[in-house]
Amino acid sequence: MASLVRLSVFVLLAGFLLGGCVGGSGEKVVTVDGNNGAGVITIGEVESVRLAQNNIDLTARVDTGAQTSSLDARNIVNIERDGKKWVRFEVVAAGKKTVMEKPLARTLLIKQHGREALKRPVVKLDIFLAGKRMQREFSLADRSNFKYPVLVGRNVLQGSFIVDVSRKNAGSAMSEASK
Amino acid sequence: MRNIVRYVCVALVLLLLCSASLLAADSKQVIGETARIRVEEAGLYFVARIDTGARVTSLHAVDIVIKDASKKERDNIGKQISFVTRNNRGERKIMHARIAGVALVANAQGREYRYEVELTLNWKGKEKRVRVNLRDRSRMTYKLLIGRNWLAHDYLVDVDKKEE
Repeated sequence: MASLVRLSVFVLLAGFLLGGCVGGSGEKVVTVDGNNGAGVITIGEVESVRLAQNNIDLTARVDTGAQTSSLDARNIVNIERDGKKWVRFEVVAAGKKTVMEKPLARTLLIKQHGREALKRPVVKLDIFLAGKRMQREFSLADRSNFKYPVLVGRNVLQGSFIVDVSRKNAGSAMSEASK
Repeated sequence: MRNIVRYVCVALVLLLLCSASLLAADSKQVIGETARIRVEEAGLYFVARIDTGARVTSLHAVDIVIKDASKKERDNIGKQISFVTRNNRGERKIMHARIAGVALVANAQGREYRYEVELTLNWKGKEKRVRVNLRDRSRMTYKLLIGRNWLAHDYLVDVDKKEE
């Protein structure tokens, strides 16, 4: 009986050691803690984003090559409110046009070779992405020539998301993808 | 008899634990917003931009010469191409490859044809051969742009990491 116990212990130990060796040979991916201490979520190359203000759902290209995120906006007009600079713009989703007004956070200057620099207004938007709510800067631009109305750039990804391009629309704007 | 049973049990348990750990391990590596990547065929290291917004990987190329070139770009597929590439440090290399494809790109500059070749890109000792399109990237910060075709199935991108 005692020898059987000894054998079982040996087998279990050997098994764990072997399993540990095999599992640790490659670089295993473990959930990384973001700057805010909360768990980091994995999202795909394309994801759903919801504008919190009016529950508009939009499809976004997840772009680690872009510093600032971008929203497809039309009829962008500079306005003033209480002596402060605001921006009025239209967001189109599912054929419906929604007018939004936001304080101007800053202006993005995009230099182009041999041409005049492009100016894009930047506003702060409350969004939901993979179940996380956050407020981030979005530049406003006509994205009708692009496949997706929203571009999620590094300013949204930093500290919160890791990108797996093998996935697409893994979750919804309101919830993280099931693993 | 008892010994055989014992050995079989040991083997089975080891096999079970082995396969369990293999299944559990997610083998994708985490790469940052930029990374030091070696283009094997050039023998050069590049500080590359990791760009999930780009479908295909792109490498800086100038002085493109096609052997027995034909006027129609698509007829050049399969032909030998030579070009000069340069990394951020200014290290230059003449490269020779076979044209694997041609892509028609419509952008602000109009319509351009971009030739594609197959190259081997190495990060941290792991090599992966992918389609790379050649374009003049002299005005861009990063001479090598890694797109989704290299990242897919093998890498996760964490923009909080950076390699210069």
